[in-house]
Amino acid sequence: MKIGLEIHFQLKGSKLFCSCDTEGEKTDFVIERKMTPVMSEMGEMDSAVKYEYIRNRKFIYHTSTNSCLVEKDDEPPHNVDYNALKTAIALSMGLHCKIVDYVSFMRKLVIDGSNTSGFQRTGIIGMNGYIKTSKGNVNISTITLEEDAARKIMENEEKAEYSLDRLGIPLIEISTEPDIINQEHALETAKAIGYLVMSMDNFRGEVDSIRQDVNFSMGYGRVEIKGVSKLSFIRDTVNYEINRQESLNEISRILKIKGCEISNFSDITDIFKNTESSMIKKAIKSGKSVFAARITNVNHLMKYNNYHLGKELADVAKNMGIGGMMHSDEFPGYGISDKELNNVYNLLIKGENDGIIIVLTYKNNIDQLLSLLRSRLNKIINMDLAETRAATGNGETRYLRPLPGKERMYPETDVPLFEINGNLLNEAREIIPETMEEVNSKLNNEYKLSNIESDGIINNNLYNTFVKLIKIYNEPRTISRLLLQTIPELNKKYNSKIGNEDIIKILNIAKNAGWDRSNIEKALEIFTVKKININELIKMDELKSLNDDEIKKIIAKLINNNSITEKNIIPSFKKETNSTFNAKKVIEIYKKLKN
Amino acid sequence: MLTGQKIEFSYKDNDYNGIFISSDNEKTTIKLDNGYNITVKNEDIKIKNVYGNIQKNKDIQMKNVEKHGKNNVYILTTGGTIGSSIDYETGAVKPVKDISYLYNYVNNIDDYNLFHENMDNILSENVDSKKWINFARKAKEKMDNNSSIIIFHGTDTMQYSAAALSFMFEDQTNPIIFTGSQRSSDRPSSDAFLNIEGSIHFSSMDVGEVCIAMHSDTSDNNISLHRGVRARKMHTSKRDAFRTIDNSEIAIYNNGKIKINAGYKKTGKNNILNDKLNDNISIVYFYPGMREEDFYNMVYNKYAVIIMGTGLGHVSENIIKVIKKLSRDVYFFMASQCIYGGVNLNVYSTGRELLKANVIPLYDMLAETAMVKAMYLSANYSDNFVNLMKTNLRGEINNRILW
Repeated sequence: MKIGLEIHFQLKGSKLFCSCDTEGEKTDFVIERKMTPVMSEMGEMDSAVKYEYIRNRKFIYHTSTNSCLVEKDDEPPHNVDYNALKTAIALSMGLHCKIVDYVSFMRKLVIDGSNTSGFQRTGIIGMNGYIKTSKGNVNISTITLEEDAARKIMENEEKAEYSLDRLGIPLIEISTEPDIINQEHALETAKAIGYLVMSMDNFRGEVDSIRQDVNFSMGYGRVEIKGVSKLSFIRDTVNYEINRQESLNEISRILKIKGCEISNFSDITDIFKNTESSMIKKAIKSGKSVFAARITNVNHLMKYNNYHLGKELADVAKNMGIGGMMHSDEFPGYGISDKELNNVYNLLIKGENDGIIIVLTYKNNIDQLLSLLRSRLNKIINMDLAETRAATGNGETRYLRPLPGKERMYPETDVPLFEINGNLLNEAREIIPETMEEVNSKLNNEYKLSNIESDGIINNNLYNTFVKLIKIYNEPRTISRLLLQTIPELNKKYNSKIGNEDIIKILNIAKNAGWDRSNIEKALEIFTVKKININELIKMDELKSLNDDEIKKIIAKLINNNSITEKNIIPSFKKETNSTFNAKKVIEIYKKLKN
Repeated sequence: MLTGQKIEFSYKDNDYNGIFISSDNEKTTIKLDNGYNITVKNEDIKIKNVYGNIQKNKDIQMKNVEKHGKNNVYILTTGGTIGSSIDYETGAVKPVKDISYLYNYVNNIDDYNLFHENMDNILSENVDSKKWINFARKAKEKMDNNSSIIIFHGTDTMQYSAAALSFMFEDQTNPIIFTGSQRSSDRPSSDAFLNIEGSIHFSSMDVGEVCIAMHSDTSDNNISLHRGVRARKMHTSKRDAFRTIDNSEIAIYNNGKIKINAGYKKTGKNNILNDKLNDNISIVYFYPGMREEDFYNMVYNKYAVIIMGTGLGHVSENIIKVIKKLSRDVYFFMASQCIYGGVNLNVYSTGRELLKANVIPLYDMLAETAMVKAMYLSANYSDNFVNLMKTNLRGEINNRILW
């Protein structure tokens, strides 16, 4: 088994090739485009591109407040965003890559409509690096800086709709060699790379800001699985793929012996003229026809025990926008009557071992569907499983398109070659991310935090914030408590979101006013509840610290009234005042007065 | 090393395979096996092995267009973005040798007999009056053989070329349609494919005019057919850069159908071409503070000058003085920088002074069209030059502007 990862993460700030912000909202303007397949510089058409064109859909783009003529493909790209480039170089350095002397951006053809231009701009920044793992180094083949695709809103047989808000967001892609040995190792590698990524200052940090592709092979060709959204799904996805390929291998063995063919599709709409099946009724009403074909020797291979050949074929239809392919392993079902089924089986001369598939679609789709189904079945029988698949939301995968080749890359001539000079390298060196081990050792040794604290900071990706705050208020344990306990609790209790800028301002006040931890916590709570201007905090009675004289007065009063001991002095003292106070000082003064 | 040769090389201590693309004194560009190009400094790279055989570009597959359609269409390519592809060696844009793949994807292509002739491979800023004469002669030759004409042309000066051919053809048997693209045809999103599709459909109309066919808006839906003498490129980069100024387009193409929006001249029985042009004509763009000697130097010795004045057609007093001095020898015409709307020299005293200085207002004729018209008339009808300049010949003057 061989596993490689491609980890993509977004940067925030400016888009890669224009001055639009990475964040924005939908606007009302909509444009409609078509894509035409083109040849590469070698005069060949990429198989993935050809496949998409067969689907021949139109594309609708919804504009956003953060899109301009560049995203609409109505203006050439501007110069590459300097910050994004610097980040990509720093990350490449962090992963021990060789940095290229010049960035040459390429056009990678993608005509599924996810890019208005029909290609994605991408350029290599670093090559030949590695990341340390418990199973040895995993080599990094390339680190590229590219533009993110448009966000898909919906798709059907005729069209796909996208929003332009995500198009052009800087995306860094880290590709490993297939050095990963198993599912657990893949997870560990993804985590280690993900840690570096998340600690970059301008990491976007939204829900979909990190996406993983998994390259997997167990001897039947390389499968590229796109868009594994969660880390834990890496394991599920690989497990699913192993099962799928093993099961297909058995199916292939059976069909190689028995033989397997798909007949032409027959239009069987007439059989369902008075059907009770609501699904078929609805399709016929919308102008679609009912088609069926016979596949020899696949009975009980379509969906039976561990066999799921039906899904492999349904995926092809689904990619053409034809949903709901039905097959004989599922019958009776879908509200189809026994009589109707018998008519279908008789018409198609279904033998005992044969399977039947039924699809609901427009007449002009059916020839194309048949040829795609035939080539898919052939691929499975020959166990040539190399292809691009999509990760689903539940740890499974589905067929997307053939693997793209290098035919789909050619130079982006609108963006001049960019020399990575000494200045840029020096600036990048300043922001090289530290690895998890480096950070851990710093937190433990330099800042004297416990293991629990340092784990908390690392796992919650708070190290950069921690370092920033320490520079203002040099009490590591206080900062650690604020970040790991106080602030999350306040946010939860008041359903609020205290920003880093606010924390920095409050800590600046704390430093000048000589506040201790309890003052800071109180200040944060008041700020969260009352939502007042931070500069007002200093004037509030509750946050005024008592001076020595005021403390003396209260203790004197307490000693006169009660039997106060060193143990209960603090709670008793608290009852007497709303202001904050330094507890150490109170005990000190109490001892003095008592004697 | 030759472009396309396979090589083995090392870069910063690592070994790679790739295909050599190009190099100069400082740097080398190589295509890696994963399809990416990298460009590196010569001092950082060591070529270890060069393999003899060159990965040759395969010939682009062309769809065989069967010649059974009813309409003959001759496509003349002159260069520009629409007829260009990327030169993978230099990274620059170069002309396409075989355009057939461009119309592989056109709807109803079988209704047409398409022919192609490559006339030129120039960027449109390099087109001049000699080229216009060549284009016109070639178009006549093909129209005489009963073909409609589509000319692939760079968009930058397309309006000048279309206007020039408009005047040079006093009558024509078939439509002549200029088309181009704002996004190069090497990219899947190129507007070229739909522009060509629209042009091919327009070419079967009975329009006896020279037109421009380009996107109506930024979506890939409609193609507008503009009258050549009234069209103007109004945006540097958008697909719908071309507009018919102060009028509606002749027709709109959408998904196999043509909708007629305005009247047009019908095709005639003969092709009458006057292929003489006088290029001693110029356009001068007036600006505040323009120096008299600068203006003088630009217009002195010209046969005619089209002034692009401000607003209704104005220039400063000092420039009027120069015009007065020269107007016995040079014809001065007035068009407006505003692009939209007509000039009127009766409203302000400056205008009246200009009239006194013998400046001839051209109402809403576009300055570029006026220049080309002056080139045509002065070469062919110098006896009646001023009168014909003021007369609407090809729809270049709207006598009324509706909106």
